[in-house]
Amino acid sequence: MINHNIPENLLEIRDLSIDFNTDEGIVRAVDNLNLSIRPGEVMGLVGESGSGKSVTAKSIMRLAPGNAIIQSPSRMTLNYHDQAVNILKLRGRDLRLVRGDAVSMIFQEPMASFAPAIRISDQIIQTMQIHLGYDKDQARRAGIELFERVGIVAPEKRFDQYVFELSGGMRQRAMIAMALSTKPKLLIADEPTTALDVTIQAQVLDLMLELREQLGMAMLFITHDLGVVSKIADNVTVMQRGKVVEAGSAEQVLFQPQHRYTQRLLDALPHLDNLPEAPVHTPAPLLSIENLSISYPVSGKGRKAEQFTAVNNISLDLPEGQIIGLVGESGSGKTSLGKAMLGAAPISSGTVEYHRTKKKVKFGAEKAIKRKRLARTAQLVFQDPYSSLNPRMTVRDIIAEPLEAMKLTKSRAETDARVIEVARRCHIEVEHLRRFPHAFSGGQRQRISIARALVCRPKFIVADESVAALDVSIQAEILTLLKELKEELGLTILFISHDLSVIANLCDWVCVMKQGELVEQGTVRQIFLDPQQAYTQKLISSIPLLESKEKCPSGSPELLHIAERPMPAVSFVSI
Amino acid sequence: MNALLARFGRKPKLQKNDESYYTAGQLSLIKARFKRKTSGVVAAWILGTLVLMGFFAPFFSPVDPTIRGADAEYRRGAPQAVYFWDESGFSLRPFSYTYTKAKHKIDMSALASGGLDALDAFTSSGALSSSSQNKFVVDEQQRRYLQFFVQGWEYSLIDLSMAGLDLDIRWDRHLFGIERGQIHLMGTDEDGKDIFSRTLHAIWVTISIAIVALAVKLIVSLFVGGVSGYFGGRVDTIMMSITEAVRVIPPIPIYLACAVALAQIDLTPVQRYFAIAVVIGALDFATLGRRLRTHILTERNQDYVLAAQLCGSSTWRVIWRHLIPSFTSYIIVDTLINFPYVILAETSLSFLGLGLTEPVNSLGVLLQKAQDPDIQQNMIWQFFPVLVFVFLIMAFVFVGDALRDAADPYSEKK
Repeated sequence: MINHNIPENLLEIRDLSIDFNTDEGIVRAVDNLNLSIRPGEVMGLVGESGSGKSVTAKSIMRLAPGNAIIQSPSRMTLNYHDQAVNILKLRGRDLRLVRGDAVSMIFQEPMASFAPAIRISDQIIQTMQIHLGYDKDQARRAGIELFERVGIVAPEKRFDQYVFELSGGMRQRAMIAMALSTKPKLLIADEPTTALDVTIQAQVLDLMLELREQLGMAMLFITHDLGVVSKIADNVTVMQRGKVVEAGSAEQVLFQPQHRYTQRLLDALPHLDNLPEAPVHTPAPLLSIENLSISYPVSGKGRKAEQFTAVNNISLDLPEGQIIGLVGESGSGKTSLGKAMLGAAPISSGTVEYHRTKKKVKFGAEKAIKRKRLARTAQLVFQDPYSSLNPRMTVRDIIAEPLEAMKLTKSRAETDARVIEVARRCHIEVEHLRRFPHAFSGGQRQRISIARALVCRPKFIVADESVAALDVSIQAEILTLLKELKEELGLTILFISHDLSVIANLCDWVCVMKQGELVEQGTVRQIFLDPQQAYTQKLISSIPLLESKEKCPSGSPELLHIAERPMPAVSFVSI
Repeated sequence: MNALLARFGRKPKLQKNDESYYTAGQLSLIKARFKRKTSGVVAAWILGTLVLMGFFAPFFSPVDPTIRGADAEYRRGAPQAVYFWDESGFSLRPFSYTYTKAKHKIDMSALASGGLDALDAFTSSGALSSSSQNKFVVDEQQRRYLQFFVQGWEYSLIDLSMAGLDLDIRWDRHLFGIERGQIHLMGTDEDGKDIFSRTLHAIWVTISIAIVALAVKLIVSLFVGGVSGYFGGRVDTIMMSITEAVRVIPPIPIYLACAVALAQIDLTPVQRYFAIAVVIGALDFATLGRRLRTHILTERNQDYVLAAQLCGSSTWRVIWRHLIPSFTSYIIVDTLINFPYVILAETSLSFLGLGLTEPVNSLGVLLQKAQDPDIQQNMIWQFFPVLVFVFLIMAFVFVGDALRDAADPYSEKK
């Protein structure tokens, strides 16, 4: 069966090293990477941001950014119609052999991957015309067929729409259809589900598995989420700082991890068998929300303005000294609710009341709140650690901002003392206070953001997707910090997230939101192990957990004929 | 590694573990990035030299550029070269020669006797023509040595009396001069005024007009863009409509109209000079104003602004501490990039004869002179200001270009 002239692997990467030319000098992004993908194999490439996984994938398509330098003796051999092609030596038109003909790519953000002003149909038809030599009608028929295959309802109608007219899940399906349109041998998926909500993520993953079985193409699946990998990959390669730290079959890597880094990644997965016990008695509420509604004007001006109701008539008590998780898919109004508690969202009716403050703090639609009074009680930790810190101020100035803005301290020395105290608590080195934010990584920046929120000693913190932009291992550090702060300072934290695994690891109490309404609330145990509402059940069942599957001989042609995947046996990780 | 760096023509940069990189503020980050662009650095040095020479023009000029310093003996004179050595030997001190005006030999008696040949010779000698080149005899035996820090006419080195301050430093030293008479490095014009000195003085006149114009422009566009961007809504719509209306009117006719209007008013050259600067600046706000508006609109929605608000910062503090620093670098860059355009506006006005006029020294005035066929044929050295002008504009363009790339050090930090 094996012809010695024919390369055995579909793609073989040997000694790949990529350097980046940056402001801080030459940075090695990929170091001596070896990777091979056999026909029909799904390779999971796992790593955190900066581990070099995306650059590797992009360099296969020769799409690495301009300041990336591929060092010799890197080799990248592609089996193109039984001929060995060195991808790194291709020039000009020959690159089309790789791009589209043999390899297609699915990107993380489907909205940004389609041209916004061209109909999806035209984009897909053009691709097929170029690569397959179809005429327009042929391509159109094939395109609609593909749309049907990726599970888009009413494919003929959707086919001629623009990308903004589709929902997030539909967009990613359309993206997959476009990637498949050239019948590639290898599909590179660069974090294809990261930007999607869990329920849609589950759908997309199922779709990709199905397609892989139907079409028998190989996949390079890039992700940071081991749960997703366990669902889809035959083999797994784990990267850290540009190096491969562990590689092997999915079973082996996920269930008998050898490297400490892999173990750490596994630790970050949800541990549903290890949920905290509910507190014996529920503490008195710190904050009460009554019949709160929030609406934004959508279009039009003045009285004719159409209103979008983000939060619809929610009443809620937040118990003091606990971490309360607020879960929901994008657009469920969870961020609006969080901001309303800080007086930063337009409340259309209802009230927010803080108890246990020196002066009464109560505000609502009719009664505006003085921001300064609220700022000492409640603070916000943002999602994006990059845009929420003013790049032109030193860390010391950023943390001291609330003190200086509200003139809470009497002297500069006192301010400095407070800043140092809070920096220590958030594990920021005191020597780093002189630095500017650009010197820090995402996790460190988020610590700064937390320190700024804590410096005026608030009782309540809203953390709005505060770890969503961070890598799992750094997420864990920040979560530990938040738990510490709750224990030591008796802080009440509202933790807004779409990521159920984070909520399961962190929170005492969980509220589930859907389209502006509060669907369900309860202790973590109640929500995760015994959800009452259908929507909550759907959410919980969509969490990608580690699952073992029967070891199938990867790469063998028989794989293509396996029609049904064995039902996954869900196993909870406990380490 | 080094070979690689050499390939990119870049010096080894700040290392990541260097504390200075971490504690580097916006300005030092811009500086570090700017330094990496060689064309920008070279242009910056040229620009710096030109501006400095322009600002201290009296000190660098060997000759008074006004009619007082005009050399009646050396009108329409060619550039006087400076040598270090000649047939009679080497000299560490540079020297020039003695120039004397060639007297046209007019053979009166031959003319009187009516010789046609003599008449011919007389007409072709150029004695009757005012536009031909004057002939000067170079006496190579008589060296005149350059002198440094010579005493010359008195001038004000720094004069702030116009700004209402009682500061007027007067001096009479000049960087260089020459013994016995004057040196005309770039020749003289028809009045005997030194081209080199005039050009140096013109640089500063032109740049100061540009500074005034840009300051006016900045104030107007800050007002328009700031109000428009901060309030948004209806205010924004109205302001931007007006801005667009101003923008679609071609500038030259407006300048012409204003220049004519200014001519009706009796103004001293200095007043006229500032009036022009204000007109140029006030009419040029549209682009910058619009950009600032966009910038404020986007910057206002950044998370860190909301963060500051939630920290209890007042509106004033948000604007002052957070918003304004975010676009100072942007304004600086935009201003620098616009410098050449404002200079061009001034020169084109002067060139059209509607801006500054003789005897004021400005690059526009000198450029206007260069269009005279007499100068093009007989006094090619009067193109020296053109050369300086080209250098100045190019330097501004290159520096502005390099700065634009360097100005937003946070753009790639994601």
